[in-house]
Amino acid sequence: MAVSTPHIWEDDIYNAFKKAGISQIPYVPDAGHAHLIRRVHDDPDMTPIVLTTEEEGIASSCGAWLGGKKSVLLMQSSGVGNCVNMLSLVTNCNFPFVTIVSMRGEYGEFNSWQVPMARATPTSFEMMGVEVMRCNSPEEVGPTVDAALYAAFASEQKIAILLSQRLIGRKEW
Amino acid sequence: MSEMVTIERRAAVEHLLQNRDNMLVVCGLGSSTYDVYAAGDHHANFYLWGAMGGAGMIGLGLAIAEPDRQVMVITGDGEALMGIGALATVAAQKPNNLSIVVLDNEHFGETGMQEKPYLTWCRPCRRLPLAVGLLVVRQSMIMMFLMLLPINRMTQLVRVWPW
Repeated sequence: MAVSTPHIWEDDIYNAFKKAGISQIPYVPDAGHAHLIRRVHDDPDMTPIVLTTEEEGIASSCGAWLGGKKSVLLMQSSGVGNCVNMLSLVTNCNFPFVTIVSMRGEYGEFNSWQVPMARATPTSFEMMGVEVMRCNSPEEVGPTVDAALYAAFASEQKIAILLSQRLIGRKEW
Repeated sequence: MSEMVTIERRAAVEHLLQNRDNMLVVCGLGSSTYDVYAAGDHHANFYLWGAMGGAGMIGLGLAIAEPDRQVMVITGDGEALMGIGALATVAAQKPNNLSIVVLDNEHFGETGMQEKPYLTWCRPCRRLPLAVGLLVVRQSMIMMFLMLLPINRMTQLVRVWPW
């Protein structure tokens, strides 16, 4: 299996994490975040938490905040639907929350199974009170993540950043 | 094979929380939240009455964030089953300051005492080490109850009463 080529904007995300003091990174393994995940594993100040399902990362992020630490959840669009009820923890307790979602099922998708959840991704977040921000081009990523982290942890916002499939690149079969 | 022991849940939880010092407690929705509150409200309790399946992972995030404090998750068998993958996640992290206590009444108590129509929590516990890791199952999940009982066997199982 090929390892994805690192994107410059993945380093921008990592740098935004460092600036904001993010220390816990729960994630479901995903090619779109592969380089970022490797960087997190290499950083002794960050704890990567590999999950069996995405909603675990909602709960662990809230636990981290209860302990005074900042967390960002990484996942792919196919896992967003798993999170819906667990997001009630975020909204009910008014926790800050940031997730970065790599999109499949849109630009040039070869796998039709990715499409339904991709189309429902923004709605799933919005119906649970999570603001959706989208990055379509590489230069948007760093500033968007930086702004989202600042807003979330300064004013208890709940934000999902969607990384477009056009940005990540078409996955060829 | 181990024997099954039944203990009274309120007394068990009260015992677990005696001399807690600065321990942080997360409790799963339903009866385990009531048990923890009944043992005495405390500023270091985080009570859940929703987000089913999330108690263990809240405990994990908290335990990693607060490595110098003990964290105890007290939850029910139904709540734990809904997030059972979390046990694998916790086992991979191996936090030495996190305990997960599962109160197994063999029923879905919060929703009307429906019987749990498959193996009780205790049985999967004995099998989980193969897939999940001994640390969580033995030390965190079962050992806490062993401390209450004059028994040294690691596989001793505990059923709680009343439902």
